[in-house]
Formats: sequence, C-alpha cells, structure tokens
Amino acid sequence: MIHYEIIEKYQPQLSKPTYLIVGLPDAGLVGVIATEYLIEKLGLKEFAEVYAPEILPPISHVKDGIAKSPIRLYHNHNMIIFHSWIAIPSTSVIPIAKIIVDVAKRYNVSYIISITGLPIQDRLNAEKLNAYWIANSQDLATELQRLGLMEKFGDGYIAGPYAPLLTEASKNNIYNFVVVVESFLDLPDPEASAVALNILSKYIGFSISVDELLKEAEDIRDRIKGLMSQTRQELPNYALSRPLTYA
Amino acid sequence: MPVFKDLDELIRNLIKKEEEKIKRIEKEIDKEFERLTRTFQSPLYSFTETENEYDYLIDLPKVDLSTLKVEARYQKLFVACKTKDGREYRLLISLPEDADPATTEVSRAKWLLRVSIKKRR
Repeated sequence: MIHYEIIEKYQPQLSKPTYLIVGLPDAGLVGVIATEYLIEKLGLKEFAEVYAPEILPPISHVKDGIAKSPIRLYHNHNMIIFHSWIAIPSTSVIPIAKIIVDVAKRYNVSYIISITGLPIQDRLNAEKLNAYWIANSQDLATELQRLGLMEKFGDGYIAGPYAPLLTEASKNNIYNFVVVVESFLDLPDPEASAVALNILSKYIGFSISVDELLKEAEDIRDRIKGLMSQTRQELPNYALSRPLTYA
Repeated sequence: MPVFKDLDELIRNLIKKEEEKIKRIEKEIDKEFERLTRTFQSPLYSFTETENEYDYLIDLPKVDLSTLKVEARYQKLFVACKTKDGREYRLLISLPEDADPATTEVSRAKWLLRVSIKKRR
C-alpha cells in the first residue's frame, strides 16, 4: 500500500475521450521534453500535484519562487499531463505506475499514452527517426495498427518506468500504449520528442508546431542537462545496464 | 649509484624508477586538470566505441565556437569553451589505454561536438 496524496487546486472538467499523457525522464528525455513542450505551447493548466514522500527523494521543484512537488498534473479540455521534473528512482517505478493508474481512474481517463526513446547505435547519422508502438491489449493493438501512425514494436523488451504501467493499466482495464521513438540514450534528444509530438497530435487530434521545439532545442538542452545527469544515474538500475527498450 | 650483482636486476631497478617518475608526472597532470575543471560546469557527453576508434559526443548548448579548445594528451581528453551568455564548460575524460591522442579529430555533428580518437594498432 503506497501512501500518497493528490493535492488538487480544483477538479478539472474534461470531455470524452480523455487522454493521460505521461512524461517521465528516461532515454533521451524524449517523454519529458515532449510533455513540457505540450504544457507550454498548448497552455495547459496546472491543477494538482502528487505528494509521495515515501517513494520520492526529498526534492521540491521551485517555480517562480514557489516550492512544489516535482510531479504535477496539467490539463486542457480532454488531456491530462502527468509530468515529472525529477528522475524516478528505480525503486519507485512500480509505485509510480500504480499512482498513474489511480490518477487515470480518478479522472475517468480513456487512454494512457507514454512517450519514450529507443536508443540506437547510429543515432548521430540517422536522417529519419522511426517510431513504434507498444500496447497493453489486443483491441488497442488493432486500433494502432489500423491507424498506421507508427510501426508495431514487434518482439523485444521494455524496462523502466513505463514497463509496469502497461501491466497496471491492463489490470485495471485502461488502455495504455507507449510511443517509442529512436533516440540517444544519455543525451537530451528534442528531435525524437518532435517526432513523438507529431504522432500524438494526429492521434488525439490537436494542432502543434514542432518547428519551435527544434528552434528552442538549444535552450531546452541547456535547461534540462541537470535532469539528464540525474536520469543517467538511474538508467542502468532500470534495466540492469541494458537500454530501456530493446529488440 | 647502488651496486647490483647482475644486469637484469639493474635494468629492473631502472625500469621501476622510471615507472615511479611517470606515475608522479601523471598525478601532477591529474591535479592540474582537476584544478582547471573544478569551478566550471561540466557538459553532458556520450561515449561509443567502434572497431577502430572511440567517439565522444559532447553536448555544449549555447557554445561560442570561437572559444572552443580541445586537447588530447597523456591519455586525457580536455574540452573547454565559453557559452554565448558567458558561462564556461570544462570537461576532462580519461582515455582508454589503446586510444591514440595523436589521431584526435574534432567535428560538429548535428548539435553535438564529436571527438574521434583512433585505437592504436
């Protein structure tokens, strides 16, 4: 039993279907770069924070002089973003997955969408970044296959914070899929995040320009290098020194 | 000069003294590099190895390339530069034993600095 609180400023009004987008730091920070960009560019409102002192390090995220939980929730009319401003300790990935599913149940979420990177050897010379999906049910797999926005990941392994989430969501009959984009492992990769955002915008049906993300990439990389340093210390613990997603 | 009963012992002793001297020099170099990097930001970097060379990919956001300095010697790679907003990056990496610092090549690849060093044959 995990003791945690969702400290809500208000209860958001959400239309159906509701999507929960999860941005947790892992390979290339692909997920968190994408969710941070969504929060900023779509003007998502912060409405809650997750307080879980038993599983998170004693770190607060200070924004405009105000200390807050490093894990916060944002929303617009049909989307909630679960965004972490710190690396998730490897010992906390399962409790965090349970919390994410609790959040999904609390707000009647229809789909949980996670975003991650697939480290590839020759990322530096890759002109086009391939994207894949990993789903937690056959129904969802059929839908993703039909849409053709990404390729099926096929056979392999997924480790790290998104792995237990697939199972936890499935246990609770909530659809969850992971958008997996080829990326660097231990360097921030805004290009991979841009690919993920393009897919997400088509899937959910919102408009976003990733040109600005690429233009702002230098600022983003500068701002999040501390998070990348912290995350790369956790990465080997997620998968016993193996890449997070590998075929 | 001490006296040795055989030539082999004399040579072993000379080699030992030379090794101690090299270790002392290495320690001094490490201390100097540590002093140079102590008060500066350290950039993120990634390392890959192929059959023939080692590649270091270094992320230097906002770098002012005119200030970039890359040196490889004594099995150490040292990178220093300033950013456009006046901060400084410094990085010191110990190179693998078979890396040949004389073959160091520096290039830009996407948004990263790439330092390639060939392996000794």
